[in-house]
Amino acid sequence: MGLFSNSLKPEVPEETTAAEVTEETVLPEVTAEGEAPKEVVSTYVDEMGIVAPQTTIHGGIITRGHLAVAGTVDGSVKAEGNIMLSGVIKGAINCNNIIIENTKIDCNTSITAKGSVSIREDASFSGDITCKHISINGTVLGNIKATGNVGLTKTAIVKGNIDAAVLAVEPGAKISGNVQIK
Amino acid sequence: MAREQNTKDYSCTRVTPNMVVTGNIESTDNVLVEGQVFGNINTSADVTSSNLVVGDIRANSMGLNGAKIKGSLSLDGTLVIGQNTIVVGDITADAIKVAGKVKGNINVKESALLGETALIVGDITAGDVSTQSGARINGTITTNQTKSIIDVDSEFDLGNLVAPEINGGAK
Repeated sequence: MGLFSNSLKPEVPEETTAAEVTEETVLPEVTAEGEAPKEVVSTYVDEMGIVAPQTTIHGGIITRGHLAVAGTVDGSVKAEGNIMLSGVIKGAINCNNIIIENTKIDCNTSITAKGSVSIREDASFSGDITCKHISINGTVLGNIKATGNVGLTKTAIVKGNIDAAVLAVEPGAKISGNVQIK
Repeated sequence: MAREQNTKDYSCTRVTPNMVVTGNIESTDNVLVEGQVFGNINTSADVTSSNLVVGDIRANSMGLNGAKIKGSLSLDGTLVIGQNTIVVGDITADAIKVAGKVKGNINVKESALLGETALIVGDITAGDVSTQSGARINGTITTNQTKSIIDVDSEFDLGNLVAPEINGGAK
């Protein structure tokens, strides 16, 4: 027994409890000022976790690195690094930068990004988005709150309110909702 | 973003060293666990782990190196348990090679090879067991050759053990 008792205690880092996966962190650098906030020193580790296309995670993920999700994650995802999403994440998303492409996320979740969000032309996302910058080529059904720039190209569709410091809209973009530029 | 070039190369689910998955993983892809998984892993492909899994694993074949597994392992193919690996849980596999530690019962259809650094606490049932000098085993070993003995009594028949009556006829 003595042989095993020590080594088997799983070294559970404090952030691994399921409760904390869904917790939204308050980002210190988000300010109401139009002034571009100081670049936050990234704390992420340069490694990329992968949820492969034929993989479903029935739960959440926390990572200090980057994450590529081509499969399905039922729960929340919290990444210190960037997320490349071409699959489905059903829970809240918390990350640095995120690119969403070639997928439809219609489970009304939320994105909180320290950096920028990119919704590609072939992507659709339903839920609220809080970020620094966002560029939309695809569809967003939800409210957008950006401390920096919001860019909508001609293929963009936004159904929801936009709250931004700077808004750039290409002719052809569709917006239905209130726009507030502070 | 720099990651765009490897966008489509997502053939294997990978839990990186600084990543924690809380929940079961269902997959038909290979699963590589360098981080921590708190949940079961179920894949029709292979699982490789060098870190922690707290949960049962079902896979085709599996390689563990420097891993800690708490949960039962059920494989169609071969299980390799490298040195510095600890498994606490029962194991069912086709074949097994052990250089690490296992606490639990091992049930193998074909061969079980226990290396010199192996430590097994539990019973082993296998088609064939070979043990290198140095392997520590605490438990019973049953091989299929033992099981296939149809008539145990006849194998251990010592013949007629009744002593002849020497004084019987004396008057």
